[in-house]
Amino acid sequence: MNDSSRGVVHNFIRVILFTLASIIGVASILASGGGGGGGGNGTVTPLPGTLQFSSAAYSVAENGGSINITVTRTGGSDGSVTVAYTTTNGTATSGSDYTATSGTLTFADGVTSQNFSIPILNDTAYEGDETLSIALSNATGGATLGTPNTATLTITDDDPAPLPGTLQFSSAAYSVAENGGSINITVTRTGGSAGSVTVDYTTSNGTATSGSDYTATSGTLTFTDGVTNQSFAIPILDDTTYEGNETVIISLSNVTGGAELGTPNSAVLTISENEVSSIQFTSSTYSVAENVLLSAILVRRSGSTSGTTTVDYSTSDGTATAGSDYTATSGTLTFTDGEIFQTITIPILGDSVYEGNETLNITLSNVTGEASLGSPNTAVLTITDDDPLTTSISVSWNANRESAVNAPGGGYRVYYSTTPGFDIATANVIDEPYVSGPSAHTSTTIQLASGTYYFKVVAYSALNSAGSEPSQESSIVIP
Amino acid sequence: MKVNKPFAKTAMSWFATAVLATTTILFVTKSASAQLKSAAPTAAQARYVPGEVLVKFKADATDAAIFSVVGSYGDEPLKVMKRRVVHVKLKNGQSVEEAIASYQGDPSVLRAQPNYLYNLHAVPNDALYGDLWALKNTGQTISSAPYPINNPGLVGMDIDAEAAWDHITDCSSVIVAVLDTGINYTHADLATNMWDGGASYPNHGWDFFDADNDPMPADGSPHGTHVAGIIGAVGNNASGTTGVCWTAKLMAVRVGGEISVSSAAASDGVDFAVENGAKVINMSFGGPPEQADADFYDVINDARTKDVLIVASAGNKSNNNDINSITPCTFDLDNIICVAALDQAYELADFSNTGATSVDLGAPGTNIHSAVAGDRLIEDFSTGWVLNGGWGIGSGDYCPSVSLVNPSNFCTVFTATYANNADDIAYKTFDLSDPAILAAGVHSELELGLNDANDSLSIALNGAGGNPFSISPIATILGPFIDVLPIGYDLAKSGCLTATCSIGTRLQSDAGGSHLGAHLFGFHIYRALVNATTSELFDGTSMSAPMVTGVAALVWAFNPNYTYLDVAESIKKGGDAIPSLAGTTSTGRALDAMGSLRYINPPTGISLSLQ
Repeated sequence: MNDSSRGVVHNFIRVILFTLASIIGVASILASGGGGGGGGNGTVTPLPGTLQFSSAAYSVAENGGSINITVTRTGGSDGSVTVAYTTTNGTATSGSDYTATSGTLTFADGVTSQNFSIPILNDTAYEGDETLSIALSNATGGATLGTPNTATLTITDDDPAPLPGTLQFSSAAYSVAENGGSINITVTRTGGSAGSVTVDYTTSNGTATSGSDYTATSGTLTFTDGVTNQSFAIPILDDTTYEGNETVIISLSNVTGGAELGTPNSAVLTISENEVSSIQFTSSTYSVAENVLLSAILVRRSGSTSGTTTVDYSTSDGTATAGSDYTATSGTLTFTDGEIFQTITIPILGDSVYEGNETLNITLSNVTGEASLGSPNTAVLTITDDDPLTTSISVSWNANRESAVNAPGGGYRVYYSTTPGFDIATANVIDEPYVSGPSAHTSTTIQLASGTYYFKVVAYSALNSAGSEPSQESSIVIP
Repeated sequence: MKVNKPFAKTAMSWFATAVLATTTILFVTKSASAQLKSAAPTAAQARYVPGEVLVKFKADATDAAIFSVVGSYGDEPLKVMKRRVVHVKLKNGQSVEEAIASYQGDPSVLRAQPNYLYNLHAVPNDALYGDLWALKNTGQTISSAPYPINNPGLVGMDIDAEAAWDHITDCSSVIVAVLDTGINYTHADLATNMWDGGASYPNHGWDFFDADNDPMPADGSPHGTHVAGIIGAVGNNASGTTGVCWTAKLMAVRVGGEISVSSAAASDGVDFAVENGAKVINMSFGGPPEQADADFYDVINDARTKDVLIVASAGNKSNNNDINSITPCTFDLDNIICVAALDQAYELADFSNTGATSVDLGAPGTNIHSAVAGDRLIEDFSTGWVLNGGWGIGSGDYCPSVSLVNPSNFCTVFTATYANNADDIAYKTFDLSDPAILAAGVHSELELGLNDANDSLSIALNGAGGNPFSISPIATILGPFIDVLPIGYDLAKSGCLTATCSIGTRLQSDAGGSHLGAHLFGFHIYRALVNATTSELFDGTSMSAPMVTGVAALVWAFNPNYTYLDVAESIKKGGDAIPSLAGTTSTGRALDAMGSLRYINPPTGISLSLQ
């Protein structure tokens, strides 16, 4: 190979020299040659001529199949002469670019040109134009080697030339969780990967702040030849503050190696907030006994507990009725910084009548501050009846004849107990005051659980609020 | 019921006044200065002044602001009172309730309220009200009191009338019959409260004693009029006394005279009262223990079935009626309330009968001031007497007062006796010609001892004057006899309402023995006067019964739907427990008008059912 290289250099120098000689010394060469030939003019001296290539340079397309090289015989064509030819690798390589060829051309007498063919080998790789040398030698028959006796054959590449390509982000938008650690940003090389190219990248603050939300990152990506993807990492910094989503701008610049800056060459990286704060009930169902004065419903702030958040609440009837079973309640809960729980207090109105369990609905709405309405945001509060399952008892009595009993301020009190001979001072009592008309009510209805009950009735008046002596006791068995 | 002896239609002794009454009852004239408090309330129903409110503004409200607010409602500020209270006269047509609602809603107003009318705690303006301790015991001392014990008594020991009067003073819806000695229905303090009997009974009742249509006390008896005044003397008329009922309908049913009442008249009287609509019948009389009257029982039982309540007096003999039954008090009928007498300290009056089972409750019965039919002429035997034979005017150890006696030494010699073969007449001529005298009667106590049937004492009345025995005597008592008894005679019936009414007595004897003779004392003439304004202080269970009758009428008027039994229960159970009545009456209680109004019967008929 060194020999070949040296040979190419050698020939090259010689070509140059030859060329210089052709320009500067042709006359003398001709003169010298003429002088020599002139010397033979005097006698008939056979002139076998000189043999040389028809051109010092040839060219053939890679897909040309082969090329015929013409050797010309000038200065005489007397006699039969021969000349040897051979190919020598230049940048082209025999066996892959062409088939090494050598041989002897014979010029019969009077023949002034002969050809030989060099096979060209085609491929699909872009290699650029390649060269090989062809040389004549060993002229016989009295012929001499003329000039040029070496030539260069250029095999022109028919494959498309390779490109360095364009560099751009793989996406215009990236996203990473605040607690994601880091994100790899990929830069792609498209439209060619020829050669080694570089591009610079850098980050800049969008709404995010370097140093607290992410680590500012910059550098240079190198795509060596044929490399189409490179990436760099941006470290993401987690915190415990709810800030909402924030953005970082990333940019590419300063492309080298013939590559171009593609699109997108800037992108937005969104750091999504992981401090999710939501307001919701601690349960979707609550229960309170009817005989409890107040029901406390817990509302929780989940996630970040920083900052001040408010949420509205209100009650609505289910099977329970506001005003008789509970007091309709609405308002706003405020979670101050760090507060996790707030309480909704709903007054429960007890009675002594069995109604079964009843429900009311509680709804959260209208969250303000850095939080969202979580789930559950509606809850059902069941008021459990503490009264025993009851039967309706009708109590009636004869109307008293006192006018004042049957007038404003008058009426009856019905006392009852499970104890026979009970003292009315410690008994249950239902008041049936005079309302209107000619007489006070002389009956009432009581809900009672099973058992045996004893009743006494007392009449009273505006003149005598303590009332009459109790009536005789009556009893009833409720199954 | 103890009907264990046949009833004789003789006189029942009369409870009217205690035994001392004839000597101690005096005319009482009180000045009008007694108790002139403010007038009683009118229109007790109106509890506040219509068309006016009282508005209390906030402390920082200026007068100008107040006037502006009041004016904005179209109302008129009458006066800005203290404490930023404004007396507001409302615009025409505005109700008090609406105005209060408007003012209450005004931001500058603290509150608004009606201009309430308070009950003047019903105090009547009757001239003698201050004497009526039974209605309001202020601890007053009763002047010229016939009953000396516990005078004055104790403050508050009364029937609580004023509290009851806050609620009702009008009993005119309840007819009350006074079965008694008649009522002077012309009395100034009774006339407007008399029952209107219409054309059938133009004199407000009937006289079953004399069987005529005029229940005027023919013998001048004050008793029935006194009883009537206790029940229903016109209240708040600035004169006289005050009845338990200020307005009433009093039915006069005369069933006897000052001395006695007959069973037949009483029975007829009850029937008359019931038939003519009486709901409560007062019977301030009673028969002695031995008189159990089946007929009278039936009459009262019939009244019971007609929802009529009887109030009877317990009697004045300090007896136990449980042992010695008294008609009608001890009849075993639940429509009879039997009443004992209390004094001014709510001690049992010393004369009052009692009965742990038969007497129901006590009521004031001493020094009771009430109307009487007229006046009485008290005979002091100082002048005018024509004395023959053994008659004389005497006094001494055996006579409580100056008396007409035969023998003339009756008062000084214990062993004195009248003469044998006597025919002694004594008489005096009285002028009873005054046209104001509607009726009159002569009354006296007579202590008499006669030896045998041949000795006698006679009484004669003669309108022509002179010796009254020129005509037949009106009564003759034959021996043997020894007793003290009241006597009384109707002077009008005897034609004696003349300028020359001679009244005399005649003792006649034979030779066969003698006795202590005659002693007339407490001799007086009752005169019923037209439009009388007179009143007297009496003692007796006769006075206690009408207290209860008056309250019964109040209670019944207040509770129109009541039955007789409701009324009786309210009175018995609404009374005040009094120590002196514990064990001496069935309830142990004293009459309490307010307590009776307050009382409520226990409800009945309790019915229970599952629904």
